[in-house]
Order: sequence, then C-alpha cells, then structure tokens
Amino acid sequence: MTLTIPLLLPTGETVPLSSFLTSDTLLLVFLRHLA
Amino acid sequence: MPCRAHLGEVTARADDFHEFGCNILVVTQARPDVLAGFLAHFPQPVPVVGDPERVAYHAFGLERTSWWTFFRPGVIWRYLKHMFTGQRVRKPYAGEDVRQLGGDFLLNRAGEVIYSYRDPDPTRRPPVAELLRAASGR
Repeated sequence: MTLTIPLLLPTGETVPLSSFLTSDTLLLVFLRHLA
Repeated sequence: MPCRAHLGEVTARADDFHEFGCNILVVTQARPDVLAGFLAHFPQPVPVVGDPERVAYHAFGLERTSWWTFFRPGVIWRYLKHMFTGQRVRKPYAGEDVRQLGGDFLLNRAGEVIYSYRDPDPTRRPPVAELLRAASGR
C-alpha cells in the first residue's frame, strides 16, 4: 500500500512512491516545512 | 534542528548514501507550484516531491504536534541555538502546516521500512551518521 502513495512532482505530475525505489534502499526524508 | 538545516546535512552526504546503494527522496507538504518556486531558488541534488494532502505523512505515522510543543524549554533552546549559529528561522511557505512533524525512513526494494525516525518535536532530527549507518546495513 505504501508503494502506491501518490506524490506530486514540481511539474504537477502525480507519481507513485514506488517509482523512486530504483536502488537497494530509499531514504525518505519528510520535512516539516521548506523554510 | 529546523528542516532546511536537516535537508542540507542529508543532501551534503548524498554521494555517501549512493555508495551504499541508497537513493534519497525528500517529501514536503508543498503544492507543485510552491515546490517549483522553491527549487528554482534552491536547487537540490536529490528529488523533492510534494504531498500537500499529507497522504504519505499519515501513512508513515507522522503526527501533528500541538502549539504547546513550541513553548517547551528544550524546543525554544534548540531554536535559539540554531539562530546563534547564524541560521534563520523562516516563515513557512503557503499551505504548509507548521504543526506537522517530519521524519526519516529507510525502505528496502520490497518497500519494507527497515529504519524509522519520527520527529518527537519540531527541532529534533536524527544525526546523518545514524542514517548512513542504517543505509550501510551495519
């Protein structure tokens, strides 16, 4: 289920989390905000 | 540690993460237009995506803290320490909920979480050395 989470690219395109899992591991860094 | 500082620390070691076969993905609450504006001014060496509905934040169990958290002595002290080192505490971007806490997670190829750190308050993040150790599998 986690892998299908939709994420938005800066272009506005929606991609699933799985599309970034192209290496052995993936470090996800969730920011509280960009500031 | 405020978010931008953590982002800088992690991305500065992006090559070290890649050596361990680990890619980095930064998830923000930003809308695509806000994110595009941010990246135009502050390009990042790793992908940065938006989750304005906070679907991923919820899926990974990241909580929204209370306003009282910002008045805890430890939190105030860490913000002051951050400012004393010459870093600025900036105004949040449009649509960002400052009470939403962040975190760091390491996923394997199967999508299983093999490391997790949920920020206990707005000023604490895991040391990059800890993230690298997790990525190295040691």
